[in-house]
Amino acid sequence: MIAEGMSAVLLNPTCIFWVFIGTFVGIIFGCIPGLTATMAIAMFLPVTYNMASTQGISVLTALYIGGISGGLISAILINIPGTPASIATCLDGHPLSAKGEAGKALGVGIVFSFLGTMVGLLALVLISPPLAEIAIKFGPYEYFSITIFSLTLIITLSSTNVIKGLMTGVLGLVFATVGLAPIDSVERYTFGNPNLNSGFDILTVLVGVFAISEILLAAEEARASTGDGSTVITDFTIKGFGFSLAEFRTQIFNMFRSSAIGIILGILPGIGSGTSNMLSYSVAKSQSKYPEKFGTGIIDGVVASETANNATIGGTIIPLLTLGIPGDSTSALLLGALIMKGIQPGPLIFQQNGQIVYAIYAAMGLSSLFMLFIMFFGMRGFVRILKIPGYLLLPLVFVLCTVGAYGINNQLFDCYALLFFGFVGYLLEKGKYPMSPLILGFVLGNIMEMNLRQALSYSHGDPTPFFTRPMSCTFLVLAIVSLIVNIFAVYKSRHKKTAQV
Amino acid sequence: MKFAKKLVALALTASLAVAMSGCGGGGDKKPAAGGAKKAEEVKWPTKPITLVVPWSAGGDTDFFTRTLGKYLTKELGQPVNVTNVVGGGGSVASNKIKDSKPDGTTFLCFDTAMALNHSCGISNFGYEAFDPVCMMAKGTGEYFVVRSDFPANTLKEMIKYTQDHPDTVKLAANTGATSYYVAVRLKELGAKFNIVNGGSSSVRLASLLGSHIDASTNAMGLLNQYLPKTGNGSLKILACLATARSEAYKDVPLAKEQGVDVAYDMTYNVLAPKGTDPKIIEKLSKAIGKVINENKDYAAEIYKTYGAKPFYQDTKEAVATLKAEDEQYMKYSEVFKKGVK
Amino acid sequence: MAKYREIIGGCVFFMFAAAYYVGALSIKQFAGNDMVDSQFIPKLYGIIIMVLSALQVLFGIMKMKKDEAEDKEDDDKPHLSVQQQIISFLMSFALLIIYVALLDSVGFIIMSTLFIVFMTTLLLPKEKRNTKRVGMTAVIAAAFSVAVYMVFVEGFALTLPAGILG
Repeated sequence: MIAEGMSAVLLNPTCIFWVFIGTFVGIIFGCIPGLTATMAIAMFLPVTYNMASTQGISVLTALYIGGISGGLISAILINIPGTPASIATCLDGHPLSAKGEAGKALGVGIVFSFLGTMVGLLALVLISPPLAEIAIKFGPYEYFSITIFSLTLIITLSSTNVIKGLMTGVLGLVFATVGLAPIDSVERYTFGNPNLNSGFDILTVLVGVFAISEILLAAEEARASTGDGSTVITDFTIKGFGFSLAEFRTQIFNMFRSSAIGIILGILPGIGSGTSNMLSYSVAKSQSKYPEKFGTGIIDGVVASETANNATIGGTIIPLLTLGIPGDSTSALLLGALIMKGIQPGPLIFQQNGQIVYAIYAAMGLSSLFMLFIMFFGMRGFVRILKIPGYLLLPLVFVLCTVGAYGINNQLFDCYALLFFGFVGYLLEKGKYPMSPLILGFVLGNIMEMNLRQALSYSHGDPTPFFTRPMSCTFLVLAIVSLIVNIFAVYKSRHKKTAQV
Repeated sequence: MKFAKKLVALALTASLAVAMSGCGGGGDKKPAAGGAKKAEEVKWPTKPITLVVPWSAGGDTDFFTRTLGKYLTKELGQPVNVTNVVGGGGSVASNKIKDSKPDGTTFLCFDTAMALNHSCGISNFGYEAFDPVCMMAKGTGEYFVVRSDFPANTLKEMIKYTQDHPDTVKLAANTGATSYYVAVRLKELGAKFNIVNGGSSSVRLASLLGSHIDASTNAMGLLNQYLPKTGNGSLKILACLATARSEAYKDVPLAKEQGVDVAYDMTYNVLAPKGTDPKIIEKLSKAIGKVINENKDYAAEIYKTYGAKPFYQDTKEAVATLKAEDEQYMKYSEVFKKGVK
Repeated sequence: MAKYREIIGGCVFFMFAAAYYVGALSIKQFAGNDMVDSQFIPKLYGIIIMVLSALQVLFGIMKMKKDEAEDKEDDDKPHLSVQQQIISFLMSFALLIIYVALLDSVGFIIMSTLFIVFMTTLLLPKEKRNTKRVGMTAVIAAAFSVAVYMVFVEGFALTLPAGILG
């Protein structure tokens, strides 16, 4: 069965061709802000109807991998994450690019995306049963605690001003409350508009806050500047992947830690690469010997973010195949595709449909290699995008964002939502508030509230199980500790500054 | 020559797209032979059709819709796409389709839960807000499931257990779903469950395994892989909640046979936005009927995963069935709205 | 202006949070629900933000009293005056709104072309504005819009408004 599944992918030229196409298209969709891997898969589904199961699922897997990996390109080059999975990549990727080291940033992102996927795949192949067991043990208490932990860690590490970080984070949570409430489905802040019943779409929030605000800010700056938009002299001659073997060696531990974070968050349905990249970045920063360098342009940040978001792919596939629970909207489409092919995921999937499982493994590996290959050759071309002056590039990006927003539901409402969040992002930038906590709050808001209420309904309103259950208690304690430690650190450094003056 | 490079890149992408569309994307194929040979055939469908499922992928409604959609594509000659619009216990999707353009491109594939949404007050409308097309499936029913080591072997024993240990057995029930109806009925019969929200069907099964909840109402499908004979034996069924035993699972006792008066059927329907051309509805209904009644692969697939037999009711009968369902659950409206606590 | 940034920011957030809290009071509550119902979390968020923004205003006032020129605006890039900044912002935002508003009626291709031309010209530094540049931009804009439309509508079966052309 193993051989049958893998050879269906690896030894079949048509399949190899389609995996290549899938990876390529996925990367394109991933790197353009406004277009997502989910969209790419939704569009490709009809194409796969007539394909054999192994081939169809392989293409979709390739799209998924390409989509997650591609986000780093726009994150690094134009400071706009192509997907929520690459938000943290902007934080150090773009400063590197601004310093003229775009090639290095891209190279690091690409190689470690590849490594992250591979480690995730390894975990999938070797230890998915025990990982699935862990996934089952996570109940609402644990989910709530881990989301609180992620929120506090990321917020406190997002900027030197903890108060502002918290405010933006809670603002993200606030936007997540718009729509029908979890559990009892009452309308909240929908103002009678049925378009808001399912809440805002992550795309409009992400792209609005990051991309549209860039445009509005550029409007102020560019008219005054005398440069040609790309004022930095970028080194366009890139050797190999743009970074040295010595630099690679320094990142090995970072890579394994980030992969672990990515895989663990992947196996928890509902929490995916959008969160894992930021959490991994924050953990890397807090454990680093030079945390103050994070955000100025060091490869550690890019490694942490890109390894984690790709490792999450492997993690997400575990509950998808063994429990039939998709981890995010993209893998939900994969689940739909599997069901249409007559494959029912569950604990017996290895016995009943083993060849599909191994085909997925093979497709993942193959697609990662293609991704490495395509991006390696594309690197030098991508970097040249920097040569396009901002005053032309930003409007083009906005048009693509509009295409993406419109494509969510074929209505203009989402385009207006895009503008709304652009305005919000603009105001936040003007007020010097950090933006990544907003996205994180928005992404985790519903999961957090739903699990809180579910947990409380289990215990009849009694909050003690949050602290008596070991895993839940651990995460809550970690959250409180990290909050205190970080406030203290900021307080200390501020005192040091005034003492030095 | 920076923009020359851009144009080349755009041209490459464009040619790739053309290559893809040639390989079977959203193209127009010839309409398949078959269907009613009426004098005036309505020119439909000319564009791909979307079937909207109000639940996340993996559940029973999703399964029946996807399986039907697969074979319907060949029957109608246009791609039939299935999308999941989740939220509000199914009401986000039903609201959306209710207000969408009645041009024959979008349809809602819902189930008995629609009547429950109506009676729980989650939506203030029922089947009458749509133009029903047909009934597309009938499940073998839902099953009352617990972990295999639970100290009760029938639903009657379970009720007694909850009376001896009130409020300790967590039963998953989602507002506006059939599981809610089950919870309310069992409460009326004297059971003392701790009724909690459960999430989608695969999430409920995983929660059962992880001991986060203790009992759940599920359709077959994924459940098969957890049962003793057909799967790994980690879960067991206490009773079937349908009105009659199914051929596929004849050994499973019915709740009402055990003296527990809970019995309902799960039906799956196809609805069109109000105002859709009746000729389109008729054509779609006949095409669906053809697939369900004549396609052997379809029959084999639904039997394999859900033990279901092909079930189809044309528009007129469907309206009668939907009306009966709505009335059955509207009787409970007051009780539902008060809440189950 | 920069001095008051913290205070203004805090006040805006405070007012927003207060409005949000008030909005939470009209969320439907089911009888017999636990304490944590659908109103609870929004109210909590509202209170948290109000507290935090009050703190921010407080620290802002304290900082203002302590040091005057603590933060200089970035580096020595030439900057527009506040008035010019507001005008720039309003013009570009208006352009974005017009683009979206007319997208359905006029159509994707035409609106995108127009938008790119206008927006690019708006963003151009004054010295670079000349007719030749506008002409080149128009060509790029048209080519781009058409290409995007073709790729997505024909290639990927996505829907984009055809407007006047469709």
